[in-house]
Amino acid sequence: MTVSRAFEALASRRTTIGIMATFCVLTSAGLFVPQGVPASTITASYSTSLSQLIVAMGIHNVMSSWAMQLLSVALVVHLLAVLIQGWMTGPVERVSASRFVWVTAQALRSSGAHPEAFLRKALPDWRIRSLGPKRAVATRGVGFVGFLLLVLGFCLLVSSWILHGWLDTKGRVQLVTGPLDDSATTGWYSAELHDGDRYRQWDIGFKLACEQAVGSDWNGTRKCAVTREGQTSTVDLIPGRDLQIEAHRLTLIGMDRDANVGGFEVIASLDGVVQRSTASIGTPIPVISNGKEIATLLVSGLSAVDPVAVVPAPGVSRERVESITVSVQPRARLTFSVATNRFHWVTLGGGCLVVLGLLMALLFPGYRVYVVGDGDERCDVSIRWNGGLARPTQVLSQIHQQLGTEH
Amino acid sequence: MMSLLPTIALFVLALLWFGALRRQRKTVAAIPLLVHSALLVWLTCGSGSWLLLSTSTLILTASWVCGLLAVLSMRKQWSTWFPVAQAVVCVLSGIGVASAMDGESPPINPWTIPHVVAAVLWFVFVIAATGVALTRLRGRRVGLLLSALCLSAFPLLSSHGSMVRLHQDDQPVIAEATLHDSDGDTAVIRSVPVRGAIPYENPLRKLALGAIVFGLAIAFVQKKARIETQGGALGLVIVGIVAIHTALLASALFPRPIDASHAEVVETVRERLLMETTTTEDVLNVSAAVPPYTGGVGSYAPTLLSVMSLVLVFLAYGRRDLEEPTTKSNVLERLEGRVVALGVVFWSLMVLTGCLWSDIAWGSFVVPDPKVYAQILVGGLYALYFLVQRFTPARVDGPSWLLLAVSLVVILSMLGSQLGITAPSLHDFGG
Repeated sequence: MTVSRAFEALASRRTTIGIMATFCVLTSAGLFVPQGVPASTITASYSTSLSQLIVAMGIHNVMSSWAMQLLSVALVVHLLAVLIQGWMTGPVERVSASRFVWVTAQALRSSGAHPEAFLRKALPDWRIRSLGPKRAVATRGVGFVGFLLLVLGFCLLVSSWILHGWLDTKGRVQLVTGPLDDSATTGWYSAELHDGDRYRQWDIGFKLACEQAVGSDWNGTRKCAVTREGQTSTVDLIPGRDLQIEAHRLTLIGMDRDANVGGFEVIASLDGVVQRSTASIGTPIPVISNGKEIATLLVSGLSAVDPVAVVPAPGVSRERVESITVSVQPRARLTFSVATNRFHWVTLGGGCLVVLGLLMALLFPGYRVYVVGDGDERCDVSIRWNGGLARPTQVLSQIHQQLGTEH
Repeated sequence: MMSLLPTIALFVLALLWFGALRRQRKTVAAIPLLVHSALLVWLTCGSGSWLLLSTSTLILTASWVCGLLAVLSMRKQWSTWFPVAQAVVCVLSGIGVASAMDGESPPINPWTIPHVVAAVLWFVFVIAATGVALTRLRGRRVGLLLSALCLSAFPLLSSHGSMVRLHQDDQPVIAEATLHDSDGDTAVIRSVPVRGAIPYENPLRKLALGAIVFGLAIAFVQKKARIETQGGALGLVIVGIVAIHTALLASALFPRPIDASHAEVVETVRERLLMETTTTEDVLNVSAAVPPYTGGVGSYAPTLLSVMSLVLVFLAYGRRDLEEPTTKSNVLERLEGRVVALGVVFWSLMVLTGCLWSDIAWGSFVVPDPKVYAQILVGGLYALYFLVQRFTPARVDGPSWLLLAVSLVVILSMLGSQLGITAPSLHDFGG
C-alpha cells in the first residue's frame, strides 16, 4: 500500500509542478550570481559564508551544479512513473486532467446506440475510430503532433549541447597586431586549449597575424594572414564577424593595448604604393620609392594633431614629401575564442522543431473524445485535449447541440 | 543561401498564421507564396537599402499586431486584410534582411531584425498578460503588497541604485580617480561619471517601505482571521506615501539642482571603484578628484520600479470581487490564456532567433549571461503556468501570480544591471 501511494505521489501532477518550481528557483540564481566564473572570483566578490555556500552548491555554474543534476534525475524518474501509470490504466480512466469536463459530461449519458454510432451522430466531421465493442474515440486537430515535435526538438537541442561539450574543442588565440614577419608578432602569438578550468598550449595547426587595413580605424577592419603548412592566405577581420579557419571558428573577444609590447603600426603610401611597418616612438622609418629614400618618418606619439614627423631626405622637393600619406595606429593585442561546432545544424534543427512544435501545440489544439458504453444502452463521454488555445467546453457544447440536449 | 534563412523563417511563420486565421481562403494564402517565389528569384541578384530595412521592421511589427488582434477575436474584420499585409511584410523584410547581408550596406547580424521584432512582440504580450493578471488579482492584498515591497526594496540592494548622475552646464561631471597599488604607486587612472543621492529620497523610500510592511502585516492578520475589508484610510495613506516617493524619483528624470554633499559624492566614487576593482586589480586605495557640479539627472530604472510598486499598492487596496465566478472573470480567464499562449509563441521565436544571433555575435548559441538565465526562468514560469492552470483548477489565482512573476523577472533582467542588482550583463538596455 505504501509503495502504491509513493508511486502515485511520484506520478502525480503535483510532483511535475514541484520539479518545475524547483527548476525555476535554481535558475533564478543565474540572474544574480555571475555564471561560468572561477570559484576564486566568487570568493573575492562575496562574504566568506556566502561564497562558501555558492561554491558548495555550485551556484556559479548553476546549470551543471549537483542540485540541477539531481533535479534532472528526479524529472526522468517522474516521467517514467507517469508513462508507467498511463500504460497501466486505460485511455478512459486517464482523464484526471479533464475532470471537470468529465463531470459535466455525465449529463450526456444518453440512451441508445453503440459508442461509434453515438460519436458519428454527435461529432459528424471528426475522425472516428472504434476501440472495441464498447469503446470509440473521435479525434480532431494536431495538438499532440505539436507536443511530439516539441519533445523531439528539446531532445535534439539537449543532445547537440551534450555532444558539443564532449566532442568539440574550445580554446583561445592571442596575438599582437603587426606584419607576419615581425618578431613581436610571431613572439606574442599563442594558441591555448581550454582544459577544465585551465588553458594549456595547443598546436592548432595554423598561425594568424592581423594588421590594420588601409584607411581603417584602430578598431576597424583588419587584414589577417593565415599560415598553415607553409601556405599563407589572407582574410578580412570585419568587426562583428567571426573568422572561419578550417573547422575552427574564431570570435574576437578582446582588443586592448599591451603595455609590454607597445609600438605602432605605421602605413605610409606614396604613388599608390603602400608601405607597412611597425615602430616605437623615436624609431626612424625610411619611406622608399623606386629604390630611392624620399623621407624618414618619426612617430612622436598618438597626438591627433601631429602623430608623426616626416623628415625629407636631402634633395627631395617639398611637394613630393607632402604627397606621402601616413597612418599611425597603436599595436593592439587581440584575443580570439576558438571553437569547433560540428553539431551546429542539430542545434538549429532542434530549435526550429521546438518553435514549430510550440506553434502547433498552441495554435492548433487537438481533441480526443472517448465514449464508453456501459452495457446498459448508455454512453459515458470524456474529452482530452492538447494545446494552450484548446476549448473543451466548446466541444461539449457542440455535442449537446448535435444531440439536441440541454447544456 | 544563409542570407535567405530569415526570409524563409518569416515565410513559414506567415503560412502558419494563414493556417490559423484563414483556413478557408486558400486564394489569399497563395499570394505570399507567389510573391515570395518572385522574391527568392530577385534576391539572387538583389540589392537594398537601410531605409527599406527599417520600413520593413515597422510594417512587420504593425502587421503582427493586427494579426494577433484578429486571433484574439477583438477585431475580426482585420483578419480579412491581414494576409495581404503579411505578404507585403514577407517581401519587405526579406529584401531588407537579405540586402543587409549581401548588399553594400554596413554588415549587421542577419538575425537582429527577427530577434528584435519577436522580442518587442513578446514584450507587448507580457505587458498585456500582466495587465489581465493584475485585473484578476485586484484586492489580493498580501500577495500584491509583498510584490510591491520587493520592487521598492530592489534599489536598496545596490550602492548606486537610485542615485542621479551629476551635471554641470548640461555636461556629465567626470571624476578623475587614481588607483594605488600595494606598493603605493599609481596603478591606473580612471575617469568615472559622478553620482549623487537625490535629497530626501532615501528617508522617503524607507518611509514608503515601512508603510508597505505595516499594510502587509495588517493584511496578513486579516487574511488569517478571514476578515474582508475595503481599503479605507490606511490604504489611502500607504498609496499616498508611495505616490510621493514615485513623484520625487520621477522629478529626477529632468535636470534639477542637487545640493548633495561633496564629501559624500567623493566617498561614493571611491567605494564604487574599490568594489569594481577588488576582484581584478591589486588596488590598495583610491583617491578621487570630483569637480564642482550644479545639478543631476536620474535614471528611469528606479522610477519605473517605483511606478510599478505604486500600481501594485493601488490594486492591493482595490475592490475585490467576493462573489462566485462571474461572466467577466470567465472572460478574463479566457483572455489571459490566449494572451499567454501567443506570448509563449513569440517568446520561443525570440529565444530561437536570439540563440542564432548570439552564435554569430558571441560565438555560441548560449552564453552565461543573466539575460539568458532570465529567459530560461521565464520559460520555466510559462511551463508552470500551463501546468497549474490545467492540473490545479482549484487554485484560481495561481496562474495570474505566475504571470506577475514573469513580468518581475523581465523587469529585473532589463533593469537589474543598471541598478547593480543582477550579475554583469552583455546586454545593454540603456538607463
